[in-house]
Amino acid sequence: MSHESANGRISESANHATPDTLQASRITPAPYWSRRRYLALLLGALALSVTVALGTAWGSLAIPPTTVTRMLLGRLPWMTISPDWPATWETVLFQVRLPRVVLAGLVGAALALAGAVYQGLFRNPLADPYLIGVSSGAGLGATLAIYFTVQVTWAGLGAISIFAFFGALLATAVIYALARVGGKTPITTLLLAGVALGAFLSSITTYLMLSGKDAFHTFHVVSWMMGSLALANWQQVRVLTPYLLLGLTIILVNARPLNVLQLDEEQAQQLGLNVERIKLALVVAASLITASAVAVSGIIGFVGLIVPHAVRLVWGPDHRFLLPMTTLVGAIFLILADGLARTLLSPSELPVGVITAFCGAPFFLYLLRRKKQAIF
Amino acid sequence: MKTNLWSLARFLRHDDLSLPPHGCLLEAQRVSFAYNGRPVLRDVNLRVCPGQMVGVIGPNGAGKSTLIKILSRLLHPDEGRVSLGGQDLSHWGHAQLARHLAVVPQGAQLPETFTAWEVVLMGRTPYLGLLGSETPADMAVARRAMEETNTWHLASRFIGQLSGGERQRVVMARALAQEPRVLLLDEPTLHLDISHQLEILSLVRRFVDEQDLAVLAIFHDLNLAAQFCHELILLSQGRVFAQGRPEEVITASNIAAVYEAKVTILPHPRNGRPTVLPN
Repeated sequence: MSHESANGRISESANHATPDTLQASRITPAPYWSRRRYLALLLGALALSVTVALGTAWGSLAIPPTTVTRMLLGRLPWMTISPDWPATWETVLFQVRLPRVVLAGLVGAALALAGAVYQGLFRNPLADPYLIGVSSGAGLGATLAIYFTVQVTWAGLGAISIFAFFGALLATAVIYALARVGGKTPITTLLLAGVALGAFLSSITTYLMLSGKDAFHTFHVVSWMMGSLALANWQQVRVLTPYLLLGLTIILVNARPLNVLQLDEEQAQQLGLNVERIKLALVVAASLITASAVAVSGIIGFVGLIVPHAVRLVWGPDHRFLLPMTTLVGAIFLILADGLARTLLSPSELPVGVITAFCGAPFFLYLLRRKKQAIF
Repeated sequence: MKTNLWSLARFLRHDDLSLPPHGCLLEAQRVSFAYNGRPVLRDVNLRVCPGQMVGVIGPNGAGKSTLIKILSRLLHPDEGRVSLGGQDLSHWGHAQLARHLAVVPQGAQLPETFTAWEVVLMGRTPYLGLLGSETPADMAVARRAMEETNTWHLASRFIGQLSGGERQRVVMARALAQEPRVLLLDEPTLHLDISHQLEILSLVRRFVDEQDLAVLAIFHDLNLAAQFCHELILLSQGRVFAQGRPEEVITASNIAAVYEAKVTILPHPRNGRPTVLPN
């Protein structure tokens, strides 16, 4: 068998027929990676750094932004800035505000990224990170920890975080196993199993919550479920970061296959993808980052639903760009929302979920109206 | 110079197909398959050789689409084996298989917000590694496939803006971008008007004649099948009822037996191929 007649036939004849095909990458319409998209990612990263500085400067104790910038820059290893500010500022900035801002960024990034993955995987615009069991599993886990006042700590995390984390992962694993039929996991079955098991777990959570021995338990569960970053500390950041990085890596590696999965699964397989393996990898990675975000912050809604849509509306559906950009925008969005949540009713706090829904929904509707073509 | 390097890279990673002694690329031997105990295919034997276009005809529910799913390894036969280049289908890796065998499914679902160009580029998926993005060579192949299928002018249009015929040609371009040796088509002319039917089938036939592509296509229209195929397979209730040259398969008695329809068969005035007319 000669190589000329095998694969490569089309390209060979193409080179003979039209010399300009060599510049195909330059003249082809709408290439995946244009210089504009790289620039947009760069600007996104820049905007994130500015948002971190802003979020840190923002609070009831007024520290001038210039001082904040100098304090932050002073922490960089190669900078030498002599401190001319009170020690209390140092504490407020580095032990209270900065960990909270960083944690908000990580949680926002995780939720938005997981939302984008689920929307792509399920080819469903209503999908969010909590679709297949993460919220109900984490909710039940946290409720159990509160109800039985479990006293364990691990890696500096309290019982509620640990129970929520493993509850979320366990629920997702059970749903995935339930949806598996004959070596395959059809997406529709996965969705339905998620809805069914989610309702089942939530009913247990509600029962435990209402049968609680004292009102404090109920209050504790409810406030945890609404999501908050008020208890942020550096230890949580340290625990969350590796999971987020691992999940992000797995997801970005599968970004192009996720594009191909926008066809149906049969076509994706006929195009040479190991569809079941890719689905499993994406579900594992997305649940892992959602579970770790939920463990430290409770259930913050709306970020994972609207941020991917907003990015998709502006920049289109290519996951190779959508996923990294969603990560950046998710971080920025939750840092800003949490900034509002802790200052609007100062000295008391709003649940950050109230802000994400209140600001996110109108913005999303605006985008939807502005761009009238199909978005999904 | 750059092109030569790319051809070299392609040559190095190229896993060539060897031809078994009978010279045919795709072979099904005694294939049987049942959905939940209900038999769909029974003891099907077939071969598709380079430069040959094989048509599969038969009434609704005869097992035609199931046959394509088995030949493209979406389903596994209960009995018998399917081999590509003499090797059992299960030996092939996912991407490796897709470099040799492409499928144009019936009424393929396409994401509306992707452009035609993006969809055709997906045909290069089996050639890209982990994290791989398309090289200029991949884009040249995709562009050539679009030019062949007369879709290059649609490249920057969104799928949602295309007509049924245009979408079908885009799917066709995507399959050609896979640079397959074997192409399976499930009713490629469904819902197309006569000019687009002829355009698509002539294109396929040209690849068969000029580039030794091996094609197996399902047909609803017996006349088109007779005009374009070297060989026809008539399926009836999962069994091969007749197999051979169009004039051997499309006979009044076969059609009466399988389709339960009374027809008259006349030779085509220009080429003598059988044409089916209602009685």
